[in-house]
Amino acid sequence: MRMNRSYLPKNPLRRANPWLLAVIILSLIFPWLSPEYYVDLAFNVLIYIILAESLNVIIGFAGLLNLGHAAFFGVGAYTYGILWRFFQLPFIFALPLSAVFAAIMGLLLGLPVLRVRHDYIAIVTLGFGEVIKLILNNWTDLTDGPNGIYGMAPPQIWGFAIRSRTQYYYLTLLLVYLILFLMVRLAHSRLGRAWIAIREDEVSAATLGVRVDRLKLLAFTVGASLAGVAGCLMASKHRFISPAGFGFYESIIILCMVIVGGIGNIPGVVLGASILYIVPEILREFSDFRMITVGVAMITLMIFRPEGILGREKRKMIWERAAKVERGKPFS
Amino acid sequence: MLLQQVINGIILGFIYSLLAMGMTMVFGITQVIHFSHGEVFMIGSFIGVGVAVLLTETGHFGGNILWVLVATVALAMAGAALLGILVDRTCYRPIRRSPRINSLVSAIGSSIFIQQAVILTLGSKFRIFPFLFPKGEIHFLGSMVSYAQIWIVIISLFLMVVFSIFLKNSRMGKALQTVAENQKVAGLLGINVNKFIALTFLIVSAIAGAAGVLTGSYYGSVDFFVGFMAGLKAFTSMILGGVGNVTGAVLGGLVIGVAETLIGGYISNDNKDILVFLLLIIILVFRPSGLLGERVAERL
Repeated sequence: MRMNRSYLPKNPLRRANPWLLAVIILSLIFPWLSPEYYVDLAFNVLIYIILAESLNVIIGFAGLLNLGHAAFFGVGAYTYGILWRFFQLPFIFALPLSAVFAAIMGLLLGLPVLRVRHDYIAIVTLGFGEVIKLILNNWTDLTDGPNGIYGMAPPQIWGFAIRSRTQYYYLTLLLVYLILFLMVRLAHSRLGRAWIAIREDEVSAATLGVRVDRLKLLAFTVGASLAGVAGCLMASKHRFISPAGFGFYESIIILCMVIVGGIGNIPGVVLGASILYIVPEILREFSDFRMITVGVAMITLMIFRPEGILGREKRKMIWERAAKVERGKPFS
Repeated sequence: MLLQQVINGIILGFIYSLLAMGMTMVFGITQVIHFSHGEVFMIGSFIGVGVAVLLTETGHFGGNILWVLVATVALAMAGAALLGILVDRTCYRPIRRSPRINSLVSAIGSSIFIQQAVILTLGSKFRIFPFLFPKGEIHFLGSMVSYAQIWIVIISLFLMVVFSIFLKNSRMGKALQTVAENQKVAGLLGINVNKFIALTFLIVSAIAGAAGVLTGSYYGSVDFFVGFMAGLKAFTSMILGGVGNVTGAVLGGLVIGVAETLIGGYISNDNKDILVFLLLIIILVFRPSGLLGERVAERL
């Protein structure tokens, strides 16, 4: 029997894809085409692409709502910040450590999530995100509280220092393509299919031998570690981190990027992250009306294109079915 | 001292309960996490500031502060109710049939919109809310209960009792329960589902507006951000009590309010929110569907 592939994200690597090629070329020559300021913005877009893709592993693949994703971003950034503050640890060693610490946090969050049901996951993750932010804010001996940490040295890779905006851009671009490739391969691997099985129907997946608990934890670990990488990069580029950037609001924006692009759709999430970062930047001139426009846009998009920009109709089922199944039981 | 903290916590808890009750009602009926409920509360507060300042300055009601309070609460309730219906009509009704996560995004969008609209029109600075309660206090067992606290409890209890009588005994309340139970069947029985959902928003938003005035006047100031944290805590209370369960939401609100005040008073004021959320996570781990979640089969 042929496998039904309609549940899986389309594989953009299957055949020569002109869109993909165009995007790759454009992203490579971008720094020559535009003023430095825009390269800076492009760096931020890349960071948000990593964040949105990492959240997509948790929400899109494994189907677990996470309202505290910015916490992992913060843990990654602060791992570098703290290690720099006390030990002057260079970037190249801090990057894997950021991923590891964020992954541990992901595991810690995953454990209570296993115990609770559907809607309660929202509050557990939200509470976790707030807890991490408040710890970063209040543990002043370690993090210097609201003042933040600054002055991290630029990364040295084999004696070559990354300093300029363009160099940062290329370093991050490389990582983004690496992660995107990983994502596409992951979605089609045994692991990715198992995650999607859990998302579609947990009980059936379990009966087919998918180890639901273990894979849910793994989804949190993978998603968190990627967000940690984004945090470390961000900390090193901006040379300044403070707890304010890792709160609930940030988590919500990342979540919206995933949903706007299309949950579970890898190119869609890239697009969602780009749009939700670039549109407010364009509107910076009308800075007062910036966020209000974002609010209106979110509502309008959900009304007219509920599956996200690139999402497919099919994905509607995920949450709807869950709601229907629960209806039969005493309300949960 | 302990008793005093518990009393202060109960007052805070009543405010959370009023909000959580509304959120849980909306969730029970439409399956929407009504994220902008905190914003409705904030708008109620702002309307309250406007009305209260106007009434106290022009000396209406001959300086009788209780009448000013009643008038302020009534107008704030009306304004908030209007906003609530508007949010439902524009943000939730068009996507009633979409998956739940979409309504969450739409709800967050509406919350951002309302906050920003307030910043654009009224500015981001806080406003001083006049104190509308009679001054004075009662002492007993070495602790102190101010008249303001008594009034908050009386008004909150009044709203809760009226609300639950409406829900349990009135024709409309029963129709509302039917809608919560099964929208399709309710429609077949001749109940206008959309109208009743709008009615739900009207009621719960009016209650949130009243809560906004009570909190604003009690704590003395209002800004555009008050709705956010209040909404978050109300959301927490709702989940703690068991989603869709009104009694649970009230209980959850009281638990969160008392826990927050006690932790703030005895352990650490800076870290109280950390401990509140940790407590919440721990409770959910041991009672995965909230305090009253499993036992109660009916929704409202």
